Amino acid sequence: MIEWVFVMPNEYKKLVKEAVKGDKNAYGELYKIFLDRIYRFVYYLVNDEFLAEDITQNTFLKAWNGLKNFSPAKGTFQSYLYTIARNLVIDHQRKKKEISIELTIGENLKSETDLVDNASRNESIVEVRKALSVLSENDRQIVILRYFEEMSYDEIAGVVGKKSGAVRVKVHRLLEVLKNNMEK
Amino acid sequence: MKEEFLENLRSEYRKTGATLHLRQSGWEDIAKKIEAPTPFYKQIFGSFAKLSIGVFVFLILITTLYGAALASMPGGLLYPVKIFSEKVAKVFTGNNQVAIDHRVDEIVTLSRESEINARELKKVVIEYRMVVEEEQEKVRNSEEQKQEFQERLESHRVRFDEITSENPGVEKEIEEAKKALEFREGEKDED
Repeated sequence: MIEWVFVMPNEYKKLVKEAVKGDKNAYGELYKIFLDRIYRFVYYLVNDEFLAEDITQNTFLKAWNGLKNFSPAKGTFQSYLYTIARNLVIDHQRKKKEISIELTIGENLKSETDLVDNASRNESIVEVRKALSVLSENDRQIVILRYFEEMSYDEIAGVVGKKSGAVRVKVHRLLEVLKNNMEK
Repeated sequence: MKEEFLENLRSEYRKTGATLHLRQSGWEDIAKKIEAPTPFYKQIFGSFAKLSIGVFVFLILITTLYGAALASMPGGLLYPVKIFSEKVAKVFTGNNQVAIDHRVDEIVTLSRESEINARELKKVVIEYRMVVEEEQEKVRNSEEQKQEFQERLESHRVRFDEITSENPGVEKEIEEAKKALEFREGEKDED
């Protein structure tokens, strides 16, 4: 069972350095730090618990295998992880030919009912999913990374492969969409 | 109100955590799968293995190319490779034996073809005579080498005779080739 710990930025950087050198334990600590964040990022893109688990694990595996090529000069470790997670989600969607994962009204109701029945924590999931369902997959990624995970515009630009300025403009527009949708 | 909505949404989003399964055994699963960094000796061995495979593939390619070149005839795509290999052999052995043997083989092969390419055959015969005469000059001062070379030329004569009896149509060209042998014999008589 994982012991959840809070890590200071300097310690986090040290862990990344050690992991890059091949320290498995340091990587284990990074896993603890990022597991929830990567999981929920993936989850709100695929809307499937088991698939999200699978993609999350693959993200950490792939990240470890590519660590020797990781350079802090190219971006932060968290943007490195999110980029891998995002690419795996895209690969999955491509394979399944599910170009759009927008929830239909029917799916929404079914999922919501199931989730509410399952546990109280799922009420939050339902709320968030409902709100995000008005956005396209790409837009959802940007909102999650910026507004929910509070990543910098530069980091998000690195993850989604867009210019920082374009991301900034998009975030404002998307937040307006979410707010307006609330009124409906 | 709107701001509050977004704040609530963020708060709700952050309540979403990894599943119990991932929290309990996620890292153990990953730890089993991830490999420790490759030890130095393995890296060296890996590089050596890659190099060996590269050399092996290169040798296979060269051998295949050389084999195909040996079977090529004048005008063929790989014929220059054959000529080059003869030059290399000459550097190492100091004689023209490889080139002479190749020319004899070519004369025999060209003479056995259903449609004789007289032009190519004539060309090969001329080249045969040239390399034989060049070799005769080289072995002139050594009795042992002369004797050995003479025996080789006799084996050529036998093959030429066989060809002439098989295909009288190439008699003229074969007779030309035989002149290289006669020249040697003539010289011998003069001695």
